[in-house]
Amino acid sequence: MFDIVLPALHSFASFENVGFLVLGTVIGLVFGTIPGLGGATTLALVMPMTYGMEQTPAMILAGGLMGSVAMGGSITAVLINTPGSGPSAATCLDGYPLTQQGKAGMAIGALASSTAMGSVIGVFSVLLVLPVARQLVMMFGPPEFFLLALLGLTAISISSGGKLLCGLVVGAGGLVLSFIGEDAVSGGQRYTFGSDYLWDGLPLVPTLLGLFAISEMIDLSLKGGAVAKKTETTEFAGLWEGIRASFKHWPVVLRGSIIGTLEGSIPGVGGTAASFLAYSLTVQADKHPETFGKGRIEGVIAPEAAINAKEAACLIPTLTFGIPAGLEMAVFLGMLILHGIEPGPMLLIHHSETIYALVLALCFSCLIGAVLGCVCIKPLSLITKIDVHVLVPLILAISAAGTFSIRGEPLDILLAGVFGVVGYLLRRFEYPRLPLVLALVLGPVAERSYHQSMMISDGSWSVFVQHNTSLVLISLIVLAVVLPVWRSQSRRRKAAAEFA
Amino acid sequence: MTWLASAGADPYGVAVAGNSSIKNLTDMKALGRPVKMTSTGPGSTSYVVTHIVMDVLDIPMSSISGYRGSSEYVIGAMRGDGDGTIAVVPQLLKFHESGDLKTIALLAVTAAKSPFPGVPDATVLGKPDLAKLAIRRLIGAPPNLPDDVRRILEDSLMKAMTDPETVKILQAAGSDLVPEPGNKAAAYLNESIELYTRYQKYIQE
Repeated sequence: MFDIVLPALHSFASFENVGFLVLGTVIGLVFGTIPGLGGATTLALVMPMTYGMEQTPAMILAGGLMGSVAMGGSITAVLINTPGSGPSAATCLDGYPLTQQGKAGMAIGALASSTAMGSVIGVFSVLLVLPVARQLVMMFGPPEFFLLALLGLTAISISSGGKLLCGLVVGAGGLVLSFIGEDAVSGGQRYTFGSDYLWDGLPLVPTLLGLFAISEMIDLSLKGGAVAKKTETTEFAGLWEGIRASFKHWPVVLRGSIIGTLEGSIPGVGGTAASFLAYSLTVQADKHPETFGKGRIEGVIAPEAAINAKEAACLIPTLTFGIPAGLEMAVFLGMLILHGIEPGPMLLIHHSETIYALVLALCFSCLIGAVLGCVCIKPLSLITKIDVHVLVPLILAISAAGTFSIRGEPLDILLAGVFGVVGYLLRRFEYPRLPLVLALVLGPVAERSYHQSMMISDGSWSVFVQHNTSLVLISLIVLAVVLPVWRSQSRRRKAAAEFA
Repeated sequence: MTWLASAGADPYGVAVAGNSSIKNLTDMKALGRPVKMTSTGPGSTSYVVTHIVMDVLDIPMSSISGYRGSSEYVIGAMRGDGDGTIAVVPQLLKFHESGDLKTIALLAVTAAKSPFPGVPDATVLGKPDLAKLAIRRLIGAPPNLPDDVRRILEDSLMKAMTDPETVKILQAAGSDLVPEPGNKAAAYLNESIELYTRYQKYIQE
């Protein structure tokens, strides 16, 4: 492996290339903080500027940008409950409560260190997997996608924070909402009520912005004050504690990174699923799942590790098969072609040095982004002290502009507003939001892959037990269902024994 | 529309997984059951084209649909989700060369060099009409464009498409231009409309 990586590493010995890496990282961080803008739009804006550049510097610039854009979005998720992109929404769940408790420093520290660790693990996995990417992609067909989505959906029960019935109601509602639009298999329209806007289903970014950012702005407007409670300090002694937390909870980082790598390498599930799946499996594996959503540091670490491992792993199907694993990768595919790099099975033979330089740029960008995030924490944290009368209109305007910029569709802003109200009502009446997000993200994957599996097998369920990958996933589903029940019963037995 | 130019065309090909026991269209016909073809959903070009091709070739088929794009359904065929697939040549070529896919029919009339030597084309198959399904890159303008404006645009486009630098960039990206004027573009479109009209039942699905 080193004989391939070392020449690529040599690319970074040039002052010019390091400059492009830093430039890409800064652009990614800044644009990532704008809700809805995300990596795809940023890359599309930067792509024409790379036209006259050589292949390697152009790829290093793109790698720098793609590696840091997610972190920019996660910083705003932690500080003001406003995710820059879909995957960062999972970081809101525990990151924002930490900020409200005056622990923004700790949350950003954990975010930075888990980002760096996730990225290093992701890049290392990519370097290992790229030569055998074909086999990995071939291991996941429609039956495996269905089981993977089912594994994520089992988390609805445990992510309900002790309110199982509420969680199931919200989850079922989310599934119904996820079925809106064209049925990919039959071509029929469902729940569109004659509206062309709903043909493609509910767009995820406006929905998530509404559920998290706008609902929070409604809540803040009603309560007044600032994000961080005035009686508590938003100081940054917690920064090192946060950084150390990722090392202390290394199994959470590892699990998140593995999930991110897996979901990034297999096209069809989507990036948002990776962060929410990592979060929900961390909740499931924990001894006190009821404490999540109230400011657990592991709730920041798990999705961040997954997001950054996924960023690197998304390159696997994009480069080796030309399958973009998301919108950002679709734009990147265009950039590859612009620079005369044709994705496909022969890519690593013809352009190995450029491609490995790109992979390393992704990793270095995450590391630089993490350092910059920590260095800039003091000015960044001032946002949490801004009065809501200033903060709320600002965030709402930026969210609306970001939402509109994705598709140029005014109705997306309205949709974000509607989900803002839904999100607020869920919070107000103490219904969990995570089951809704899980169902919205995983529902379409589960439905589509189930129907495909049935078409492949002529209606036989045996298709779900034919491959080793399926059997491993079934075992994980059983474990995910049984483990929390077993834990809960054993806790009850212990409590009963203590009482007796 | 006022048609200004045609930049070229990508014909379709029929392919099966590299390790499939199907070697040609005769094997496909002899399966004794409908052939399972991967494609995107109803209403999509790939779905309609797949149905038209199999109808013309008289091979009964069922669709494994729901993939979110051509790359995904081509990988589906490589993985063995279905028996085969129909995709445009540039997409098939790289996997044909790597051995992941085996192209068994080229739906084009290949006058000179075929990208798949030894693979029967639309003429050999006796179905030259299938070549009309090719994805064409047509450039158009609003209807009733004044003649002088049309001529200026048409000339400029032809000049741009034959410019050596443009040709070089596209060749580096693995894409070839075959520039043709607006009247040819309109003729190609009419041919396609005529063919698709004959098989509109698949579009209406």
